[in-house]
Amino acid sequence: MVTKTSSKAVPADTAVTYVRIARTLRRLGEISLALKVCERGLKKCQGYSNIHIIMGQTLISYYSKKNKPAVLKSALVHFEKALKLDPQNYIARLLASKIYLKAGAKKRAKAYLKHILKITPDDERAKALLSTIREKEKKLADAKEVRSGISEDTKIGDSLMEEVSQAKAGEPSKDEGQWDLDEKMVIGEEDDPDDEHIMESLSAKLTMFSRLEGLSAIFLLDKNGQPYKIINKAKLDENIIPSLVFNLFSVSRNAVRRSGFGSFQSGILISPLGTIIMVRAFYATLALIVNGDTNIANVEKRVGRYIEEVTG
Amino acid sequence: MNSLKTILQTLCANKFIGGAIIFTKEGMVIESNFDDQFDDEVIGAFMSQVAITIKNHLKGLGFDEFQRYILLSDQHRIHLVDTGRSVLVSTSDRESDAGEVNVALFQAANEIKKSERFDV
Repeated sequence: MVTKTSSKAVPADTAVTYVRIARTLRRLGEISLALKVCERGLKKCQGYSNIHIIMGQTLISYYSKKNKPAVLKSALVHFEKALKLDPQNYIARLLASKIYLKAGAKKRAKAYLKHILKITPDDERAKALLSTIREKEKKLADAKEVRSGISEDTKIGDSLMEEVSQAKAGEPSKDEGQWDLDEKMVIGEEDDPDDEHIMESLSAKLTMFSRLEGLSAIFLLDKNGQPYKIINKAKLDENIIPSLVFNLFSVSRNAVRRSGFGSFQSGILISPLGTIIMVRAFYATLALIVNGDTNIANVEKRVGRYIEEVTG
Repeated sequence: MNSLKTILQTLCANKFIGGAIIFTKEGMVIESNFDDQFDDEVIGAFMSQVAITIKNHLKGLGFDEFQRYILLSDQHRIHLVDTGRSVLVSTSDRESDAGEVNVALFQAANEIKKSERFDV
């Protein structure tokens, strides 16, 4: 087991633990229990974007059962809070755009999706949603209701933003009936049950780095860029760094392929933070941050051995 | 002070360097020394996205710039160097001497930064 620098449970580990428990409960269908865990987690770890995201995801699952628009509004509040903490967070922005789209706020949804596509132009989920919006807009234009549709959309988007900024987390607002939700638009699950098993295996093998000289931190991210395991010896930022790693990996993969340089495998960023080595294993992204004067060749060898171990 | 063209020619004279390009942060190509199998405009456009992504995130952490980003593909090592107002990208083989490549890139980056100081 990789040792921590302190014997006390630090907030980052706590936040990740609450997220994992809530996610497992959600998968088991225990949504009310998952919500309770999220609420507990939020009390202790409010400054972590991943806690707000799991809360939002759990509220979406709750909405699927209860069909109460106020629940979706609460989910949106949490995604917006996550974006305040981590403005480049992929999954918070994607899920927020889905809720906006479901509520008819196409302009806002489009803006969020375009932001995602600026970073990762080949993101299939964002492209599909944008395509849905364009189809709806075309239908509106064809039915000659463009002028009233767009002004209504702006009003919906603006009033929605006002409600989101005023609403408190977890409290359903009184005007439940005022959201005209598109019932055909399904905000589905973003997790795959098989992912948990793979993530557990990847996490267990991180002990290979326990004696790595110069190690500052390890971030193991799931397929949505959310931290599954964090080992943070140097107390680095735990909101922005996961997004940096996830988004940089995605944009690098696209850039290398489109430039004709082959197929992207890994990246090494030399920055004031330290040297960040990132690599993909299955759908997860692993990032190791080491001191600037660490021998990178050794780290690369160790990472190579880790990948061999986990991929067999 | 060398022109950017000369800087790239000197860099690419290194046996380990395959090609090199300098572009603005917006992706506009300033000078290139890649052969015809690569499209300079495409490289500038997509690699500038990479540089912007790095800078946007580092800004959130209170940092202005990064030193270098190395992308490893199945065919190349692609080196992305922040040279202030522009970005230098060059390729080398996966098995090339990292030390020698680093020295060549360091020298080229310094020359580029020097030349930018004299821009009107």
